[in-house]
Amino acid sequence: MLSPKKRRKLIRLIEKYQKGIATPEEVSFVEAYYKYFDPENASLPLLPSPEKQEQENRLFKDMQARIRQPPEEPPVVRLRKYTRVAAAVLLLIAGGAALRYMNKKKPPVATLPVAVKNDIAPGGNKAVLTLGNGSVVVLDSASSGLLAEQGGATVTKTGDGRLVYQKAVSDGTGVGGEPAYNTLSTPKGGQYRLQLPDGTKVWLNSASSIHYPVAFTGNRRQVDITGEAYFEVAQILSSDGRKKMPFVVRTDRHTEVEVLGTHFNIMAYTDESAVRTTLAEGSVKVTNLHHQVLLTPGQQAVLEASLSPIKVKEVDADKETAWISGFFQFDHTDLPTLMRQLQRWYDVEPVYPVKDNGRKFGGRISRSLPLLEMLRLLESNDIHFKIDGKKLIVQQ
Amino acid sequence: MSAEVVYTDKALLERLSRGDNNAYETIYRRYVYSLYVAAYRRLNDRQQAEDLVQDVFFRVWNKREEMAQVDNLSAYLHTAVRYEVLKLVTRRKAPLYFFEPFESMLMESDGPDSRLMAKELLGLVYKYADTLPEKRKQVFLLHITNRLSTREIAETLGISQKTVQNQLGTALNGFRSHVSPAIMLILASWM
Repeated sequence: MLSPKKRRKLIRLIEKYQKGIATPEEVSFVEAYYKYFDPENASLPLLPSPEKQEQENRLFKDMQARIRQPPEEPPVVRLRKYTRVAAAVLLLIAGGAALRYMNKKKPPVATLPVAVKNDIAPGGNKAVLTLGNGSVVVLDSASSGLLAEQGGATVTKTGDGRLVYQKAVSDGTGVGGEPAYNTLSTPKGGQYRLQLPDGTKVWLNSASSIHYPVAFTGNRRQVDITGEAYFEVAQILSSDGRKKMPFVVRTDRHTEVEVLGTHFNIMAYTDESAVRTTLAEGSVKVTNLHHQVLLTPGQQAVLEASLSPIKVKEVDADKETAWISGFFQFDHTDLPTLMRQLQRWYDVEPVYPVKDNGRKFGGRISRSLPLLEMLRLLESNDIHFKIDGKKLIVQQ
Repeated sequence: MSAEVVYTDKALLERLSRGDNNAYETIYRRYVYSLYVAAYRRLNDRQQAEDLVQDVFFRVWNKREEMAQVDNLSAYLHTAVRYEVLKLVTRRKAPLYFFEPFESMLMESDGPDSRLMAKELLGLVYKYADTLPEKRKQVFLLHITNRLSTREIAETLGISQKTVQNQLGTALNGFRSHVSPAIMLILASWM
């Protein structure tokens, strides 16, 4: 088994290669490593030809559908990659003995003992946009197109659940005064994507918000968030053209994350015990009132209180950001944390015993499943639920 | 029944750039499998490999107007696949499979034999250097045996750094085709 440290070594080499800052030897190495996977005589077919033909036809058909109409169905673009993956197995594990349990999976329960009449649909692309002048636009799957023009920027809603800001064509420079601020908020059961005027991409999870100017001016870009968001920050130069312009994300829990251009996730729900910042790419500086840390990819900063030291731990960034790919990812997750996630996505009100026997959940499960199917996966592991209206009750 | 006309990539790209879906289909079917195989060999995951290839082709369609400028379509598409595979790796989305060969290379380059290998490697370096034109040989050896940067080599030889970079790049590429990736990794760790 390859250690994470060794993996990171290779990843760092490839990152240097991608950024064009690798030495000639490193470039040669990365290219040689990539080529290493090609067998010497490359004629070896992977699939017998009828299957190959079938695959080709199927893929081409998919592609035709895709180029004819921009994708509408997936909540986030990356979800598409996993839609054919069957709902992942969710394992209930006790006290962290995940591996033992994986080997003796129980057969799924055939009938569903959940007493309900109506299923609850999973969340989708829903949000509310508040413009600088205070007017409110409800964003759902309805019509797309230009929504507003304000402060030298246009905002457009795309068909696939995204909001895109662009500099207006007639944008006059040197305009005095403050740029307008907009706020995008998602309800429980909502999520939305946003492209800021600098090209930065933001994935906003459910029950979250982001407050941002419609145009970035001055020496730094700053946005405020509540809840959870994933950022792919674009690198841009400050207005004097000399320095890279930092991008700062503030939370209402006294945390600031400062970056130049990078990919990271920040989770700052007020009902969670800590603010967690997970770095997928690049580097970020996380600060609270008294402390600061620099993260490298694959690290997570954990802030439990605004004054206490910031803990840093190694995590699987892919797992921590599974939600942007349309998944719940549980990893030694306790029942309350699991229930809070269901609460935000299915807009249910969880009711569960205050004192739980310390059971932990692990696994990956699609967020596109209706609640009943989600519960069925959970129920195959000796936990029982009842849905009563909006209440999701864990039965003793 | 008319005879099947085989269009060159160039002709197809020309038609594609004008939005010809038939040209797109021909290109798609011509390359989809080899690109899929290239991705699959590195990811060992059918779904990821298919998705990756679809993304590449989706971009080809979206950029169809610019595609007429592409000279070597096969190289272009395989480079795009490489770019996407490496992107999956640095975004921590590639399966562990991709990292497996790295393990054995690290063992080769860190193991007890590494000093021996280093000695043998130098032998390989000199042997290869002898096949190079004089200037390129100088640059290559100064870089590897004296560990000089391209700037230092430029100063030493009184030539431009750009020239050094070009000469070194060519020399290393040639060297690479003689030796295994593990050797290149050792070389990278020396510098």
